[in-house]
Amino acid sequence: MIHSQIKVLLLYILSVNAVFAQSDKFTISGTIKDKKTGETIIGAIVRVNELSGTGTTSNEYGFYSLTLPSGKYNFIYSFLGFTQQDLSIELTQYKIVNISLSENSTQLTEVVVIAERKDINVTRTQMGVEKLDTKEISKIPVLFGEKDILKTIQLLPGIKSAGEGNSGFYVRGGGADQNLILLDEAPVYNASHLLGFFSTFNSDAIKDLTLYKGGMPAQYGGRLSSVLDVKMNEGNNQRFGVSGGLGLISSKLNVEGPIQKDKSSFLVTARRTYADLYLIFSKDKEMRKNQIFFYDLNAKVNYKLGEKDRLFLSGYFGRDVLSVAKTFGIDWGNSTGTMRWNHIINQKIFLNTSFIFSNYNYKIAFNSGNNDFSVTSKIRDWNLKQEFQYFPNPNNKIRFGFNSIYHTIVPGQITASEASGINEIKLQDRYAWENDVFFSNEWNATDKLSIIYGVRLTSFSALGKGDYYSYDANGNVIATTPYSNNEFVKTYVNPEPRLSASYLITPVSSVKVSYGRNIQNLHLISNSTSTTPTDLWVPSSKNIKPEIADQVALGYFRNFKENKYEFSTEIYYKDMQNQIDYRNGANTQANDKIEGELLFGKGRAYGLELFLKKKVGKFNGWIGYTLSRTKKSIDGVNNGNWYAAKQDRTHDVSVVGIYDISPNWSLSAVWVYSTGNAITFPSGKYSLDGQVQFLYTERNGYRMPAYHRLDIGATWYRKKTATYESSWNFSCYNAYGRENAYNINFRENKDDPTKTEAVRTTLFRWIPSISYNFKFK
Amino acid sequence: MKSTIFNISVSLVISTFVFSSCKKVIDIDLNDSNPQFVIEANIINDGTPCTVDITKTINFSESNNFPAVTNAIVTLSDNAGNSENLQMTSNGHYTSSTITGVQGRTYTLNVNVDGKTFNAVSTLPYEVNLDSAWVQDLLIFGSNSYSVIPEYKDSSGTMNFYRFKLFVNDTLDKNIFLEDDVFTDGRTVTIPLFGEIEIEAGDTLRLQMMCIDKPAYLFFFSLASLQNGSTGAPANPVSNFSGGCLGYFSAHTLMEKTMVVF
Repeated sequence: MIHSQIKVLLLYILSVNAVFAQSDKFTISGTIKDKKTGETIIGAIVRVNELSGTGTTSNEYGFYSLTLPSGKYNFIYSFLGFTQQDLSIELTQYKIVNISLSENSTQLTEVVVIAERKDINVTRTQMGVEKLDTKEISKIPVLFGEKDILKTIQLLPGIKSAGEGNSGFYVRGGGADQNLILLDEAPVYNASHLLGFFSTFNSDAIKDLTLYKGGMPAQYGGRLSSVLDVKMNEGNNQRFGVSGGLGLISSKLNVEGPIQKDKSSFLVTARRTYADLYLIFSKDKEMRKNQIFFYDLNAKVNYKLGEKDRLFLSGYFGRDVLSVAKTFGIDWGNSTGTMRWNHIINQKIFLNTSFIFSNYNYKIAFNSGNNDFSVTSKIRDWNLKQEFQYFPNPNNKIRFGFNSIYHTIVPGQITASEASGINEIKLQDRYAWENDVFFSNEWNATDKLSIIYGVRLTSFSALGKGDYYSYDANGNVIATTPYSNNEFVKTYVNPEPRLSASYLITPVSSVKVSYGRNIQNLHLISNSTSTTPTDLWVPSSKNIKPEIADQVALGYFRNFKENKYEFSTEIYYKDMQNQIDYRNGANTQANDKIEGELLFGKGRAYGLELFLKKKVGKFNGWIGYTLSRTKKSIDGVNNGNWYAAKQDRTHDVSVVGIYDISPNWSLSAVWVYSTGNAITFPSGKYSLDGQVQFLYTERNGYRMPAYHRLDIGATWYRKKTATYESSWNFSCYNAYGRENAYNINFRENKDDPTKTEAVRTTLFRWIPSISYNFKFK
Repeated sequence: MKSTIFNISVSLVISTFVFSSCKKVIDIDLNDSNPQFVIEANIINDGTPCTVDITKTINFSESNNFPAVTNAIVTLSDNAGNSENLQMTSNGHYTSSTITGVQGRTYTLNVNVDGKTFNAVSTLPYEVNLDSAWVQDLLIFGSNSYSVIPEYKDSSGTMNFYRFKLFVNDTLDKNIFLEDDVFTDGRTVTIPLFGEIEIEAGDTLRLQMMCIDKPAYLFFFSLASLQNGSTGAPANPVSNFSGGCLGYFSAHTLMEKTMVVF
């Protein structure tokens, strides 16, 4: 069925193509690269000097295509931080023009940036999109000095931190599990190390990062509130290089170079923390038997098969290891792999075929007395993705394709020795097959109005083999239905329309609107204060319906002072259906009948985001502010009344400043403020079981104290030589030592048992760090 | 077993970072609440009477004097045809005089107070013998050097639920120790219990093991998740009483072992 739809689409497009081909028009296409490294450039600008407003940008693989009436044109190729290149071309036939841009020798912040790129936030049709420059990230101070893209994006409006020092984030009222996190197209199911204090992304390996907060392009789907699309570097295909960093908490090394110059390259980036090495210094002898660390490895190879074909292989492997005195251990991690083939079918049609693997698993091992056993769990995806990009003329960019994913979930399996006191048990594996087709067109309707419209059709099937249960209103099993291998249990088909439009009021200001529907068919069961490695993904089934979100947004974008200052504001409203919550005292671990522990309801979120950024000059940075509400109403919670969701924070402010004093020194500071999370505190107490117990009257009826913090940092660039450069980075997290509440617990007063008291736990105050970064060229 | 494994794994991960944290007592202005009835009722198969304690909730800021409820009419019956009204033997404390706990029997408790009726049913499980108990030296990030290990043989083919109480020198450890047999059906079980009180050499330990029924297990399971702070959304524990009060009614067995730590 999918294939026939693709065929129809292809036929349609080819017929349109044929119509265009008859007219006197020709296509110029090619790939845009960084001259020094050979890395393709994403989002490079191609303008036509003679036709104002006509142009295009390179796609995520550096490919561009522009179809124009025959004639002589001056093409201008440009990209932020690179010297622009002008090319005079007589376009009287199809032409392939590959371009290599040179990096600007002066420092990024001092560059007078090329005009077209500067006003991208005003002219871009897509709204609700955030991009971060990986160079920008390196100057911003962070916890333990460990550069982290997932923490830096939390400084942008509409994106909130999931907690102190946490790489988890909430986008426009969505949960931390409602973000689609892609690394080279592969979904990363648990993007955090060590309870979220570090993300799985080693920023040294990252080329580009885009976060969509709403109105996502149709090629993305699967999660409710955002898409974070992370692309790994490809590796320098010009020369061999080694770079790395030494920090207090971790060290990393990056090796890249050509396999065959201009044709192929490789990249390997590795990182390991050594928190456990501190344990060696522990006074406690037993303490030294404990282990706690994580590592990750990114690797990528790409090979140019010819002018029209490129092959990429990329992979990620990360692991957290925690063990105590060799009697108890837990380790967990993701592995992903992507095999990708870029093929230029003709000058107007670009094809990308990806074969993607993703796996997340954990293992708990016990080895004490006759309790010798292990518990394992995993989620695994096999994914085939086919995407066509078609550039019929300068005013239309069409994307269409399909995606087929086979999910396997192993909720829990216990392996034990014969002598063990534990039985070998396996919870039922769950299987699901997801098939999506999508189509979108980026259409420049007039000089001022551009529209991206598209639709994604998602089909999700829960598959056998296994027993599926029906539950009564109290979550008790009332019927069991067995299904055989690959038998369809339940299929959900949902269309997801997506629309973004922008209207240019003046050359420096625009208004934008967007609407999008998103569907989520994999749901994270996480009934604790923060995400843990043992949280479980469950697929939509007879009982769990797909989560649905509809979001509308309206925005105004304005640049000032020749685009030195960017201002934008967006308002949004999001309606969410089939949201998941848990029964009181839900047992969500290793439970075959976990669906009986769930409650369902709806959610809504709305807010206003303001953003002002100074992009150039010695002093640059931004101020972001978000005013928002997020509420939930769940059958069986709070009598079904609306209540504030945990991530409901009324005010959220972030201020980021970077000051380049000299070519050698750069200072930076970050200040964040947010209203405390909504939380449930007791409103009374009683005596039971010989102890004081607390009485709860409503869900999330209280607030944590407001959170604020200042981080400061300095970077010292040592003298560059032809073959070596290095820098020192100093930072202090929470510089004024604010005692932010990580949690608040209630207990009996130790001295006076007739009294009860509240106890606040603070995690990080004045955390200084230092790191050294180097690069051999 | 199940809850033990996951609780240990989660608290381990958390503790690795929390060890560097600081704690401070702070003032929080908490709302007042309407008083609610709290019923704590137990019947054990050791010949002792059924006991029912009825109190009311108070506001958080008040001293811990929980008002006893003295005007309740408490009725206990079993599925062997016995029924009796419990007598108040001290303030808010009601006891049976004829009905005692018998394995396999189902008990119904009815409480009438201020025009409200609360009902609960509990079945006294068949006893699983606590064969022995000992102390094991184990270190988890320096926080606890000893754990107590009960040994018992789970009865195969039935769902069993266990609750343990640990007294260190006659002080009750506040941790709620629970086990089910999802992973251990029919096995000889020796899962360590990690208490809150730090055990030292010379301490006298008293370990109680109770076979409880599923509703009581669910009550204590939800109470435990409040105590260890693992739940993201605290709510009152799931009571087996109908009618909207707090508390539980549990018919259970009781065995005890005493040991001295060397």
